[in-house]
Amino acid sequence: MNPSENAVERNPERRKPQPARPRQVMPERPPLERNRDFAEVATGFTAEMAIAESERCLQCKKPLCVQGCPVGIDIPAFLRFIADGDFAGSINRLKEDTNLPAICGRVCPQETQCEEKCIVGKRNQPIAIGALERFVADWERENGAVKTPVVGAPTGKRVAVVGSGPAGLTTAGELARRGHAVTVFEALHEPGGVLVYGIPEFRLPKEIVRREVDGLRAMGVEIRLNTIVGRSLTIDDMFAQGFDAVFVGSGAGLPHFLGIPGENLNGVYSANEFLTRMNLMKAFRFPDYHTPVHVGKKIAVFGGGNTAMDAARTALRMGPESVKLIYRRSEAEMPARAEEIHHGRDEGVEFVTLTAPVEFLDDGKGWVAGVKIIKMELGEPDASGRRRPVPIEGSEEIIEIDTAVIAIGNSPNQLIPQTTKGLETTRHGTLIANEATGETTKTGVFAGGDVVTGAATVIQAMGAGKAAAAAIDDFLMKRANAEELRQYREKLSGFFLVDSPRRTPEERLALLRSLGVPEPESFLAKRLPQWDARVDELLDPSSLDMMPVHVSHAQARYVRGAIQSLPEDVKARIFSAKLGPTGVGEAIRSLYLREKGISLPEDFAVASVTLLDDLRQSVRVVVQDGGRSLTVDVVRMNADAEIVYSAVAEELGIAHCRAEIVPTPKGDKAAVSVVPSGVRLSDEGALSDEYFREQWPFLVDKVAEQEALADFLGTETGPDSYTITTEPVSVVADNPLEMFHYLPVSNRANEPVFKFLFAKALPDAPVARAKTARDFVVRYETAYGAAAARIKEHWNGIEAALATRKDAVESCSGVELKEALGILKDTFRWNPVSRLTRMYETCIPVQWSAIGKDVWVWRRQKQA
Amino acid sequence: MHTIMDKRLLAPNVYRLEVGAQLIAERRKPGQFIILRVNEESERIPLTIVESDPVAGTIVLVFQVMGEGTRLLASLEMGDEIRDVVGPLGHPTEISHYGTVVCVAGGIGVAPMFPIAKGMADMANTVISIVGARTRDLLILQEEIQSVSSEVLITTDDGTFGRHGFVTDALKERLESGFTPDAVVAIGPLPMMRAVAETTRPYGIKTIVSLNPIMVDGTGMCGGCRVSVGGQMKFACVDGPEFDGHQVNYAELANRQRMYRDKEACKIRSLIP
Ligand SMILES: Cc1cc2nc3c(=O)[nH]c(=O)nc-3n(C[C@H](O)[C@H](O)[C@H](O)COP(=O)(O)OP(=O)(O)OC[C@H]3O[C@@H](n4cnc5c(N)ncnc54)[C@H](O)[C@@H]3O)c2cc1C
Ligand code: SF4
Ligand code: FES
Repeated sequence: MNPSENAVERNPERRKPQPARPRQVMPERPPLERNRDFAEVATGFTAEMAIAESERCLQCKKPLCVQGCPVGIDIPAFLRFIADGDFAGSINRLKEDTNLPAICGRVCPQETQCEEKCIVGKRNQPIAIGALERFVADWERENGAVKTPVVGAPTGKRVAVVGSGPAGLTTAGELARRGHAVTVFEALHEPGGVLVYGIPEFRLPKEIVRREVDGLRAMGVEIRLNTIVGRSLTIDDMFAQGFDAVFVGSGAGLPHFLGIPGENLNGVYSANEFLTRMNLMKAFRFPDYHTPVHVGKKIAVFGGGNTAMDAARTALRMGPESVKLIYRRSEAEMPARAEEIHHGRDEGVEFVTLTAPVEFLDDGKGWVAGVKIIKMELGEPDASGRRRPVPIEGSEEIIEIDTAVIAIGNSPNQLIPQTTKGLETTRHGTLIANEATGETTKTGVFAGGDVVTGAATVIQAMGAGKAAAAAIDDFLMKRANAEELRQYREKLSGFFLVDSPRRTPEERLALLRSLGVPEPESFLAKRLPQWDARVDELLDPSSLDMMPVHVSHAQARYVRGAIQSLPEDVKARIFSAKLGPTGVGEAIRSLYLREKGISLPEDFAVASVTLLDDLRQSVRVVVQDGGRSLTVDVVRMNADAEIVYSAVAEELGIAHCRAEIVPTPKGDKAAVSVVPSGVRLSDEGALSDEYFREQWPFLVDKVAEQEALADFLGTETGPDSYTITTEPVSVVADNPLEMFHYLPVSNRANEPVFKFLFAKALPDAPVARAKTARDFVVRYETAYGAAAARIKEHWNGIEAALATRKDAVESCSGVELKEALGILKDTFRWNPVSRLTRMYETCIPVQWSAIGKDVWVWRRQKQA
Repeated sequence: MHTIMDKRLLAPNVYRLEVGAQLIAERRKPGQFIILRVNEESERIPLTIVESDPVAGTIVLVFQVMGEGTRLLASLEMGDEIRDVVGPLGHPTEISHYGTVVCVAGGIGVAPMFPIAKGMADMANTVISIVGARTRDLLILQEEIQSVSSEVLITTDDGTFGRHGFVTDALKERLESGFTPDAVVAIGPLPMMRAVAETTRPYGIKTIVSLNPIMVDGTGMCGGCRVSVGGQMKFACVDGPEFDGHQVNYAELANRQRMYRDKEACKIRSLIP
């Protein structure tokens, strides 16, 4: 094809393309100067060079270069801005397609990608696309023009990203842009993956990586360093903690060894170790930095890829006598970038090709003293299409060395698949994932980068991250909620996408109206938002005004999370004191619905649902999850039961909300708190830290008592009598804050409600904090123990009496129940003067009018 | 940042630190370790987690000042911060019901041994502990180990306390008198673990040792911690740190542990102005 035929209509004022002009060569520091230090080798284009180079571009209509780019960057578009001298325009255009231009501009193998395809390269030299990409990215940074991308409105969805290499960083950025809350978990103490521990400073200054990471932080991405997924926490834990999706970009970090004798001698390194010591731990600045590395006088690096080249050039900078790069095929087959091979040679790396190591030799003191090698010749092409090296018999030789670096490849670490049920790998150890979406074999888990492809390139990892981010967004916003959205979208028009505390009264009214509630104003006035009279939820600042139509999918997921966290074959109770259509009751109902034909994740199915108990509407659910079968009893407290619960609580002197039956808009019965006779930490903003600091012992007592009751009802009662678990555990699946109430009593302090209290009430000084935390727990355990004893003492009587009064209870209004309990008291000669009443005498209600809301707090009355 | 909540000198040059690390404190199991980096310049140092308090969010580390890294760590005081702590790393000890378990600890190996011995006792094992130290002053955590063992034998190399001799002397004597435990766990200096393994080998008693090669990342990424076990290459940080004591190539490991001897000396010199 004639290039000019392919050219775009051009602004006549612009100069004609100059393809025949010689390609601009990026200035480099002289080889023998640069091979002594770690400063960057190539210094980048000047503005004049960049403009001149971009003027060579023909601005093709069907640009071949774009086809060569793994992420399809619109190359002519950003080049055109450069040619016009509009560098800001250029970088903005570029950033629409790539997140890491300063990095890709430096490390991409352009000669086998975009530049290889460039049409100008057919006759002349191709356009220096990589150097131009680097130029505009550097221009932006150096001119302080970097803008933090606009972050979308919060979606309320949380995504965990494992690994902070190019794949993870890209995914995190893309998801943050779309308004999702992103947390990156990185095993090492510095973010960047291979970009910081592998690729050396002289090729990619770490400052550039740091800026990219800072940019992500500015977008609200949280980066948790020193966190090893699979050890510090698992992917299943992430779901249990409320993450809605997980992206795995953990790379291919497991080094291969040669498997020849002597490999464990001192002085023999994997390239990963050698480069990590040098780059991440800065061993080249030993002893200012304390991590040592051994670089002797005669170094041999084994391999022919970028890693080998980086190791060789890094070793060279430590001033040895010689650095040999030993490769078993010929130079033409070396997978390293052409530019790096050329840099290496210029700097003084000796290439020893068609040579393979056979054995490392010992100096007698445990150090490597030499390597026995064998010469190779190229035979028939192998599966990869490259000619297979075949040893030449009798060609063994010994090369004297005192340091060896093995750079023959990496594969993915198996820690994550080993610790994640349902995450499948290929026989090469890479994760199985859909190429276009990154979807793995586990629902909600996506993956991309080297962990999927095996060791590849930065740009491929970035591209995979981008594709996965789009798929995750889709998963979060569309598919996962399809069922709920289909049902509620029309009526709610985005209502529940807003966090509950931020809903305005108008929005609430509109919702109630849309649901067909008669007299919505009076409905609201009855404090209906507090249907969720669950006692310990009173301590949940986020349940201030939970609405009855919450997204049940979320709950279904929590249920699943709770189920998955259980040991095999353990029967557990999921206990919910939630009322009305919210909570687990709803979750199970939706599971039930799904059982009847609505699609479920393939490995998750409800085998059966049986009603166990009318009074509390307990159900037994048998679930097939990832191939195993689990029986879970879900004790759903209905409104009547809630009345019982609150009445019992009152009798036992346990703080609670007194409840009354009210029909919900959907026709369910719900209990509504009518008298706030408990402790409500409703609005953390309105309650001073002072209050928490003064009152925490009281608050802890109340929480403990309530939880004792909740546990008691959840674990020790019901038609099937006792629940069998391996630990003294009860599972309370409820709202997110209380969701993980499956810790043994001794470990409760890790629960959200406690963390909340800790955070509010504890002094900042860590030492003092730890001490107070201990007091907290002692206090909790004491109060819990006392309450549990009290409950146990009375429970048999209560239940027996309730059973005989079941009819009354079922049809009860608060009044009838009181009668029932009156009989109860007579029968069992309870002291009708409840402890709670006595407690009231020492408490005064404080109304926090400051925030203009009915927030009730009980404060211990100061003794006069 | 991880705050030092408490610091105690247990014996000359042996310190006990309580360090804030909530997540690790909640998750760790006996036999696991952490890697810490005191500050920007310092090395990554692996240390076994001795105890943890999930409520206070602290972990307990016991270490002996050996090289530059531990010297720097020992220079920190209560309230000071450690820059990075990552963990829990490695596989937890296989704690189950064996029957009778002998826990052999040398030097500060008692510290990581304590949670294991406790775990073994909790699983209704009869725990016999053999604790050795160079000299009386270096014996630590005696009370703790007593509290979980049905019998404790103490040896000192110089005879200043307990039996004069090595832990293996005590172990050997027992074995020779016909006593056959169901498992032996040994933690301490490499030569000691090797000697324990050699002592039990003729009797075919399951012997677990906890290896401490030089490490960098602790995640299986560098291979610096590789050891030969039963002729196979294993990464101690992810495949271990505990291995079958009868399968370990101790000579190779001992050699690898010496890799940076000369550099240690160089570092220390550089710190003395
Ligand atoms: C020395 C070297 C030179 C290279 N040179 C080039 C080059 O010039 N050009 C090029 O295009 N490509 C190059 N590559 C390849 C390129 O770096 C990789 O393809 C790319 O970095 C892969 O990105 P990633 O995000 O998938 O993984 P990585 O960059 O490997 O990042 C993975 C991250 O996940 C973390 N992680 C792993 N497991 C866990 C866990 N369980 N929990 C938490 N975090 C975890 C790791 O610590 C790491 O930070 C080079 C590679 C090496 C090693
Ligand atoms: S870089 Fe080459 S292939 Fe790409 S648009 Fe310009 S001339 Fe066409
Ligand atoms: S310490 Fe790096 S692989 Fe074990």
